[in-house]
Amino acid sequence: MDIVVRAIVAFAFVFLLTRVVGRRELSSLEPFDLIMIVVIGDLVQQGITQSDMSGVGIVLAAGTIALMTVLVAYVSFRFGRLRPILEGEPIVIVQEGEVLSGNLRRERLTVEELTAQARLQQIGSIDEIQWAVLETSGTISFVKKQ
Amino acid sequence: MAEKPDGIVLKRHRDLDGRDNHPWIRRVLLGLIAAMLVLALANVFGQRPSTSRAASPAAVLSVYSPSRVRGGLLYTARFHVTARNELQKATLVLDPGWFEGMQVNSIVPQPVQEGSRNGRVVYELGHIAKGDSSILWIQFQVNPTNVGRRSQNVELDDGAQLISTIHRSITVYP
Repeated sequence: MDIVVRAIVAFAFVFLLTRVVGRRELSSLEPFDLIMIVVIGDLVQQGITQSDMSGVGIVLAAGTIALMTVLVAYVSFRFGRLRPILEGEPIVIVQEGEVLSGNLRRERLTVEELTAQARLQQIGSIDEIQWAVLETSGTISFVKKQ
Repeated sequence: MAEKPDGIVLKRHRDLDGRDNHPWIRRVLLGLIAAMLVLALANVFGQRPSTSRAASPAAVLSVYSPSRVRGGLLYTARFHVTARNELQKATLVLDPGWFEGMQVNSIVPQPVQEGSRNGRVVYELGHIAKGDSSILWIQFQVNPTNVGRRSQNVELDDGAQLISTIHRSITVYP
């Protein structure tokens, strides 16, 4: 029973972390971020399985996390009002070539980061952008001016 | 104005209508996590050892051990007896809380004799001359499922005669 409870607690905590750290941190996957993901994964694993090295332990821990993932996805799908809490909401950061600096600041994004993301989409200037939206996944989607 | 992308509600997603408090919710949650870390630094969740001491005209007993630990941790308890008068048969009597859900990795040095007294564990240290001292180390590992609070009183006897008692407890966090 313990391993299931610990897996639920670990899932809830990691879920909370991803919601509170902000999308800016989630959107980038620099080498440091990659290392941190591996480190956090290892720390969480130790807390869940502790000294349990059994096959049953693997099934219980992995099964619990898989079910929790499905449960959160289902709740988000089924109850639209909970979706902003579980997944967040998009934020418009550029409209008609004009940076909405308040929204950018709120997500701790700089104009330099915005232009870098735009360049990755073959957009050379903010003036070319009709809409830029910081999505719930942390990526920025661009709609170019016609 | 150009048409907005599908799924975007300008009042909500551009003007952030009704979302003013969101950054504060995030800050409060981050603050709670930070508070837990500060509490951990303050030893609220263990495992920094502390010393408990009891003195009597016959001897001084001190125990150096953490009073808060977490599942799976290794720790050492040190029992130090200093004889003010000669002790013929110095004996430590430990509450069951020392061993309940704990793995004993080693006891150094091995006691002269081990036994049980009303469910408590008895370690006989033997003769200690006046002014001498005896130290016993026990290395433990906390069973991860051993969550809760337990009494860890320690009694020092000389044979059947009670010399001093230290009242301690241990809290095991999950």
